[in-house]
Amino acid sequence: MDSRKKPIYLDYSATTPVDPRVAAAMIPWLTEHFGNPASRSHGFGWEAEEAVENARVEVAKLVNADAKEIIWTSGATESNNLAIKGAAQFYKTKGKHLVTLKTEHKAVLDTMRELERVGFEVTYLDPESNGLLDLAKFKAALRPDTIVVSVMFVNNEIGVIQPIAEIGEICRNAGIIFHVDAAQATGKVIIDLEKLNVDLMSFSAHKTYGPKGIGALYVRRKPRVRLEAQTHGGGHERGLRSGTLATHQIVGMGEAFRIAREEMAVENERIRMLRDRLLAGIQGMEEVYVNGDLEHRVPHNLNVSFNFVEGESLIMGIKELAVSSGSACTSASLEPSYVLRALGRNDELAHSSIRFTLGRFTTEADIDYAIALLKERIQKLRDMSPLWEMYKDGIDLNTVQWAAH
Amino acid sequence: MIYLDNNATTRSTSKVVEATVAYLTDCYFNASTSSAGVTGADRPRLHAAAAMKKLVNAEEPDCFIFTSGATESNNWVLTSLRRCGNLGKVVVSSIEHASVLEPALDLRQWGFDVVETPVDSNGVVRIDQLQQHLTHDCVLVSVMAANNETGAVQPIREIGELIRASCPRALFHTDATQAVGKMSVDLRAGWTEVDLASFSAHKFHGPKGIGGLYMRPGIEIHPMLLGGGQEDGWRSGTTNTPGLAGLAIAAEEAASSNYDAVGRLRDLFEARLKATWPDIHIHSQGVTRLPNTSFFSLPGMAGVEMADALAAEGIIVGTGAACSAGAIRPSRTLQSMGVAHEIATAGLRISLSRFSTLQEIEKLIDTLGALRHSLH
Repeated sequence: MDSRKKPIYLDYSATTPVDPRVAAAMIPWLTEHFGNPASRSHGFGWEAEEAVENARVEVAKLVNADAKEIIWTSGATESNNLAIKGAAQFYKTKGKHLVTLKTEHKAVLDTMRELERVGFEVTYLDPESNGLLDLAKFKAALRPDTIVVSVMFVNNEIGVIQPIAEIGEICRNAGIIFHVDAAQATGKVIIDLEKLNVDLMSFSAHKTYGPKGIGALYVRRKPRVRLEAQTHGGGHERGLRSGTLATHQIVGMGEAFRIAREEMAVENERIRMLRDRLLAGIQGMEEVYVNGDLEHRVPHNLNVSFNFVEGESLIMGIKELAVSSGSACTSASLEPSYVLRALGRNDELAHSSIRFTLGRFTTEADIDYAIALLKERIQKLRDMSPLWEMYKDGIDLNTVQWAAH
Repeated sequence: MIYLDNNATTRSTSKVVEATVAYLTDCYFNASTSSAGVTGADRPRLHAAAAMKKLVNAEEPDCFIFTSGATESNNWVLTSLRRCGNLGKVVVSSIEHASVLEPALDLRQWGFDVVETPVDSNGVVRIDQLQQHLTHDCVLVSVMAANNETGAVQPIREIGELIRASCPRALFHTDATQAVGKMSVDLRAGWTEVDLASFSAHKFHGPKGIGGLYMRPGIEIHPMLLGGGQEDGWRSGTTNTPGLAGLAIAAEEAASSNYDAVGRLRDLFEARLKATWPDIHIHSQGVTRLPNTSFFSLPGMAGVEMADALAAEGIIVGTGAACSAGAIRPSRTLQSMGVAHEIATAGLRISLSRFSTLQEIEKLIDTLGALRHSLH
């Protein structure tokens, strides 16, 4: 293989580079236009406030919402915390039960666990083996005292798209608040909040070529959804979220979402073609398993288990590619992915998984290089693996009795 | 444009901007991935923690947990009490920023006894009054290090010693948003009894959207934002690498800046004001203040009108806390100090930066003179 200076970035679900157009839009608000948007007594504040409101319109437009329904936060983690804790606390007199999915992001799961500690009850549903939620099982999990449901739009590890429209309809008919973590969905799937029965939706800028440290929460106005504020002071953001607004970051998010709205149709087809090319390239190899449904999936994601190759050693073996074995937040640990475990994958396959996530700056040459590299290195690693040797000798590894150490 | 509203926000320096931008498009990687050491995405946080340690003389870089800013830090400290299991008394000063006062008052519905302790006519917490509230059932005392409006510096050392003597188990939090980067702060001399301190980068020429909480070694509070386990589990959310890179430079630059020079400029400004208008009220002038802040009232002049008129002349000043400037009401701080309504509504706040010049001050004085003449 030829050696390249910079690894090829195939980890767009961990974070994305800020689009140069976004960076260009942000810089003036870091330098000459640095006023505090809350300083309403002078022009420095006014122009910042106007920029913030323009960005709010752009974020709303991408998801077909009203700008008044968008609340700025520091990112999807804060949005998820605010939505779930805020709704549970506000509607606690109606009931104490919440429903979510085992494959949600930690920001949702850890928030749910926190609510359990203060007296709420949470049902964590298993997805099907393709990663999707079964609607009949979902319906069966609802109780008369269910107040909040939280299901992510697009899974961060396997890229599957949940049936948000159907779940929303069920929730609306049952009078249940429906929260959707859409951090991985913006710019990848069409989101129409006029049509979807979603009450709360979390967004992040840095997954869609915007800056880190800024996100938003959609809070439906018709019918009106109420939340208990989690941060107080200053009364910014309809009293739901206080704190000085980071103008440059907000402007960046607005510009990133504008670009996403205008370019996603064309961009996603190009990325789909690249993803399919990557898939075709590695499917020629033996013992390769795609994790998660391929049809109901964003074009950007390919999550594959290479049986008989340990994921971390594989990542070390393909340093020329920047990929991850799970979500960024947990990739520093050696635990197998809880998402793949929830799909029913055994430890070995969960351990041997690689998440490839493609994006705006991925090229065909990148993909061809990745395919050739993977083929060579995986063969090398398997050649060193006694398990692979046993498998090739026709031994059923499930019948082997391992000696305890 | 002459910008004299630096307690509301400051302009990022060119080095800060440069550092921030580098992590937008070039080193854009996620600091939580196992490759962060290779990509360099781990550097901004390390740099920021080291720079903050130096700026406020903390024990360890590990003492700093980074957040989206001081509002989050303040809310985090106050709301964490709900989960610690022991109800008790919470004491805050009557001049706290809304991001301390509001979450404190919210604790009442969770069963806490929340007390606002008063300030004297100079805007300094009254130690005799505070002493009475420091009973054994106190769980938290929160007093800001320096007031955002008057600049009055609070007796943090004295309050800390009082807390340790009267209610040693209580946490001592200070909202140091206006102090950090503008005056000398030493967590190992003077501030030795402070357990928790909030700060924000955009108040000392860093970017908006990044700040943090200092936690004294051995002090723990329950996390507020849950999820990916960033910041060692203390604060989840993807690490804001551009913000931290900017904060690091801002903290370094502040540490090597000359706070006294700003104070001399402010004192000169006030001497001229007094010479021109003997009837002027300079709030908190009798006590130690932030060297950059001058909050004064010219009787008969509405502060908001003056600020608007100055803005029309290209001079940006404040009238009180930026967050409540949408409503025309007298500053809460001045009310707490017992300042008469007509004086309080005349309040005008000048907050300098280390980049402010004598020429800017002279222009302000000339313009104020012309305005007072025409508006009076």
